[in-house]
Amino acid sequence: MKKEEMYKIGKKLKISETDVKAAMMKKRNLIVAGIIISAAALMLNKIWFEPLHYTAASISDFNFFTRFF
Amino acid sequence: MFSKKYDLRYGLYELTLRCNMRCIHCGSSAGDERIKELTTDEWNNVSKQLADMNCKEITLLGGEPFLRKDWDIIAKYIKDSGIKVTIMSNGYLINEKVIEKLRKIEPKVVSVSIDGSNPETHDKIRQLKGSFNRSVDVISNLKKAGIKTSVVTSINKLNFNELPEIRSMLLNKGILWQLQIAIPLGRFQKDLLLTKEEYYAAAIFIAASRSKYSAKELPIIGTHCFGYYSKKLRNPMVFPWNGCQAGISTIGIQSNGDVKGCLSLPPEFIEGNIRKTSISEIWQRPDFCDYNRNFDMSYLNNECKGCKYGKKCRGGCIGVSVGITGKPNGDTYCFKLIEEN
Repeated sequence: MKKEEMYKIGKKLKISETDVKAAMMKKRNLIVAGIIISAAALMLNKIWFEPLHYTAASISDFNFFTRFF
Repeated sequence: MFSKKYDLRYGLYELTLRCNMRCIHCGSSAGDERIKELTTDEWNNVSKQLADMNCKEITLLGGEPFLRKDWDIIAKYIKDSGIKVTIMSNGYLINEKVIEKLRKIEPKVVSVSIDGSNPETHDKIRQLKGSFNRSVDVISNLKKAGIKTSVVTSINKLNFNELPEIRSMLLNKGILWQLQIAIPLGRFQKDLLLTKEEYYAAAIFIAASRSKYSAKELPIIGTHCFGYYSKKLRNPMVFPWNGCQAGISTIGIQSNGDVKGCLSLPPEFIEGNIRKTSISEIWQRPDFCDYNRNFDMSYLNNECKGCKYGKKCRGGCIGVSVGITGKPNGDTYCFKLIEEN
């Protein structure tokens, strides 16, 4: 899918081109997230032991990390 | 450092099917209670079994969980067993007395549904006049009482255009916002289902909101239906999609004791009853949630067949897949598929 098409789809919810750009993945963020999560997993030995349910309750546990994806 | 396979971490209780609303999108067609719903002791026994299995979190939902007079006894038992409690409600019955009880139970989160930015839309979807204003008041009262609160919005064609207004309502209020798509199960009519393009626009909306606002300003999340494996979009979920968790880490128990991998799944996915078999026995059956546990690539359906992410993804959300296509392991509401076509 091309950027232009995403802009067009975004317009359905009045999302500006700048915001659509912000919604797109950045490789830098993936690398940062990878490093942080790996480090945290080693230090806390915890992340994959928690319930992996995709609800609002989980966001309160993991919000910090998920902002990087 | 890696956990064992199939550790039961997360339980979903349908405390009752009874409901004071008749929401048009209700996947379980809630309204009247089921025949022979579990008693207080039976629910507490379920919680004991889950605690013995090292379950970490239980969500109470319905129907409307607060219609059960013993909801607080059941919730307290869960808490005293060392398991976190979350509650999902339409909010209508959360009065001062309920809030007082909730303060003692200290739930991890209480979720209240908001399905529109104004009374017209919300009340139309919820089929109960006055429910929007009531929900808004309840959310504010819960916050004042210091109870962590989230708002759940099920998106369909009627409220799709109102997402920006709902976001404005919730901004800077310290309320978690969970978005999901309404799927054609139970009472929900297929003609109100979002198109794939609208679904993708909603995903852009969530991803853009997560980027535009800090976690403090707007903690927003798309649930299990907002995936998968996009090459363009930032992930709207808590974690990158790792496959449906039914029978992997999650179990759902209906108010009559029937057991499924997840409560979102339709009746044909019932795999036992806690009145006949212990939860541990059901969980340990090798064929429990076969569609996930014994998955191989031949299980994939629809456009998921041959997908390179198939092994990990297992065809997306089983509930959405069945609701939309009639088959499991083939959720066509998929970022990757949409981006490629």
